[in-house]
Amino acid sequence: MTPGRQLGFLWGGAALACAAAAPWAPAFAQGMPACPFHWLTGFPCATCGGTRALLALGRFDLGAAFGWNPLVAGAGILFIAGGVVALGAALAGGEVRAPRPTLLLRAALAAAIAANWAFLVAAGR
Amino acid sequence: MSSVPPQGPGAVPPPPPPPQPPAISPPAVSGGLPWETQALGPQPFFDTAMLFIKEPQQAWRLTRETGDYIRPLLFGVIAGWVGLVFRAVWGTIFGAGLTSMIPAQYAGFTRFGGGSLIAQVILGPLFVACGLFIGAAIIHVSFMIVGALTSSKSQFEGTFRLLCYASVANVANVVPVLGGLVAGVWAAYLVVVGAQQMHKTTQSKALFGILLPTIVCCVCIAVGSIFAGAALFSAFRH
Repeated sequence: MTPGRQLGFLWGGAALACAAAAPWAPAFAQGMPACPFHWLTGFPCATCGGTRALLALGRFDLGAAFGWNPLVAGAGILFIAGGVVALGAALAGGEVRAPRPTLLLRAALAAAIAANWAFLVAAGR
Repeated sequence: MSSVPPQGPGAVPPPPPPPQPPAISPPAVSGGLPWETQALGPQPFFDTAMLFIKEPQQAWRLTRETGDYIRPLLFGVIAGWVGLVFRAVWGTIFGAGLTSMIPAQYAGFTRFGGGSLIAQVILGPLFVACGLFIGAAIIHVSFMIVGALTSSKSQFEGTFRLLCYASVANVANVVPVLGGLVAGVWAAYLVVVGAQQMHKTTQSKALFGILLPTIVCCVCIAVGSIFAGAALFSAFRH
């Protein structure tokens, strides 16, 4: 089996396992401490609200998920949906390839992290 | 005609023998990691683990950059699961005692990572496999942002292999309480050393890449670690 096909199965398996574990996520999240950066400075960190965003995704509440943390919500959807697509491609004999790190992609990723943090600060999370 | 030189008092002495090769023993393995070149089994696993523990630079030099996700994943799952089992056992034995020693305002920082011992042991391989994949994705994006992948041929597979083989650091979890911290630092060191080999990048970019998620995304973890350390220090002082 080619590495590209293995990646498809791996991504799909991880995504399905995480989706299947969603009902137990609230119990797991109870053990998470509050953000110490927020407690210390009064400002949110770039992942503040990430756990609540993922829990909202688990309830299919997309509005709340993007409200809590757009970047984490988007990454969560990309991970699950991408995993399903990758698994389908692997089952059909296709391959999955990671994107090449072009300058535009690097800039877009950095901008997305910065914009997400700015949103969290502005929203008073 | 014989090639044997004439013997006797007036004979020309034979030429000196060629110099002996240096007395340094050759590496124990060559041409690839035992885990990737031999049949699956306990011995190749231990040989590979010992190579990463004793000679990480040599181990990364022997690691293939591409070609297979499954064997690195199996290695990472086994190493990570062993660490998880030890952590779960120490947590069961010492967890309650440590929590009771820690001041109430810091107690929340010790709750994370709970769950029953049996659940952790049985579901451990699944947790570890998912963790390796998600962790590799996060670190890969981080490497992408800092420009550590511009000369890389292996791309995501290289990052995935880095995390899988760096999981050998989980053996540090055999040490109670502080083992997890040691494992984290050790794994970061292994990833930095390995990234220079796998992605043909510089040490500073590799280091920045591995620290970026901690700095940007997980400031919580950095500050939380300081609090946890302060809490432990405070607990042991009293």
